[in-house]
Amino acid sequence: MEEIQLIEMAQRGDKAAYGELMNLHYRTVEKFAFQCGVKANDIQDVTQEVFIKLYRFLHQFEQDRFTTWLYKITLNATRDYYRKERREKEKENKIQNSQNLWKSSISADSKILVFEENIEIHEAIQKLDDKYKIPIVLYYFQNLTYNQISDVLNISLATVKTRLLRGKAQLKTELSLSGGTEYGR
Amino acid sequence: MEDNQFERRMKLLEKSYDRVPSYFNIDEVLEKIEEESTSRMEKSIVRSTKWQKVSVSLISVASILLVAMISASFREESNNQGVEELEFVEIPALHGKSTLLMPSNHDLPKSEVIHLPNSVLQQKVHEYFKLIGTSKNLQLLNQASAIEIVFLMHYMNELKNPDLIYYLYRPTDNFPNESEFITSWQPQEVIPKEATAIQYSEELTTEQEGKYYTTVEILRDHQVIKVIPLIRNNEGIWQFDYDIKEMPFDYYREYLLPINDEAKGNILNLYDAFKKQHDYSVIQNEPAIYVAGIYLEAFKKGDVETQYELLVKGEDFFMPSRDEFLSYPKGNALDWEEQFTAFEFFQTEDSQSNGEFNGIVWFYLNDSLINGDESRKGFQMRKTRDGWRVHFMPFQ
Repeated sequence: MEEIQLIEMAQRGDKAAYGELMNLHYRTVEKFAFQCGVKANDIQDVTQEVFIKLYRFLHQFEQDRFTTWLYKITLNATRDYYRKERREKEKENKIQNSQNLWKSSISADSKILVFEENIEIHEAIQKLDDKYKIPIVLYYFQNLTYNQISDVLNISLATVKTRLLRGKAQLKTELSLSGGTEYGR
Repeated sequence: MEDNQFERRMKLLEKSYDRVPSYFNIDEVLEKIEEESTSRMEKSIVRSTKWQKVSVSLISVASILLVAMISASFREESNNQGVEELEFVEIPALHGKSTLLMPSNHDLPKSEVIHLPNSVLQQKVHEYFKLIGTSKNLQLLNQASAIEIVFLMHYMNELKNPDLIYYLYRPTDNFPNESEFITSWQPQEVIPKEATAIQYSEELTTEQEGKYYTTVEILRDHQVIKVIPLIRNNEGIWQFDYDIKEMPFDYYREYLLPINDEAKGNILNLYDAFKKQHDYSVIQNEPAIYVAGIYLEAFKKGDVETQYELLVKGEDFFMPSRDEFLSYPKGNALDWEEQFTAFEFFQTEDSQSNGEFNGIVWFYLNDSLINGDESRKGFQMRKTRDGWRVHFMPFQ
């Protein structure tokens, strides 16, 4: 069945159709959340939150803008996660045994980023200001066009291009400073 | 690092993201959605019963208020240290407490400075919040001053109330619908903690076809630390501009200027001078709104060469070649003098290390051309060290 039909059916309250839609898109959300900085251990919660929120507002979307809204809502859920994570970290700092939790999160992430050069560039992306990080992620890893990025982020086409250029330049500088590890070393 | 090396590393990283683990359980989400809808239905049944009782009480209180408002005509000199140059009319409020409202029928809002913290302002804003929170009748805000609206926005952000915040914005063509707005809303600190005063100045206010445009300034120890642009609509309500939201105090701005004979004359003279040899020194020190006007005059006359010369150039900017640009089919030439009544400029991004920055000229449409919520057109420009330039395809 075509995606647009699934959206129409889900908008009329068909839960099975919504289940199909989730099936089509949950990997996008999981990967996008991780690329935006959500820790591996928390991806499940964030993804769940995205699809619950998406359902709440589903009936108001224009069908051809479904993917745009999926990205917008994921970004929103990711930002909520950052705020929550900051609170959690503050709590953790107050307790003595915080190191174990931190280690478990690091270890889950390291199953994804096996090679050092990937860890290096992923971390460099996370250090970017959001206004550069998100366009970089959408362009390089979600393969969105300039127009689609401009739609998701509500910014002009010229701003998208400028941010991509600046983000890329900052990334290159960061990688040069850190020595630019190559292939498995 | 070379470009190709960078692209290769990004491709490798993209592949590694395939290893992101998945524990997503569709059935679990569907169950939660089901639980949520059930609990919402239950709440709505309880709420409607409560509202039936409340609405009866509100009708009674409203009649008392009406009588009280008619009889309340005494003036009270404000003895509050924080309020300057203001006279208040005291009237009883909905819940029996007294509240202070601005005098009505004041066509031209007067300058005022309110020092912070200020309990009178806090109380007034709380009353506004309660009034529109219960009635959703925005018309009640036509008594609120620009400063009160800014404070109300701050207060609603503190209370994390996007449902009401939505109504404080002026709807424009970019304005999302209510649910989109609520979904993407993030709380903002409208008035920074370190602020010591809020200021509204008549001098920063301009009137254009019944609407007022102003900038409320937030100060810390007499220094402006933030400016907030507001528009007062034809119903007399100050509203936030959704497209601008807020502006750092050091952002460049050119205030609203009517496109009158003087402005038209200046633009036409500049256009004539610039088109002769495309000598950039002619426009180097001219304001953004005039350079935008020259571009539109060139467009009106089908002078694509002048248009091309005014575009931002450089490898960071998407641009067709000169030949390509000159070969584009000409559309219906827009007559800016007929279509627009006023223009203003706002910087929209931080300045780069070389001092360059982007911004928007807003061209306000003639009333007869306003279609739906779109009352103005955004025109993208860039400040370069050689003066103002126009982005390729400038109209947003």
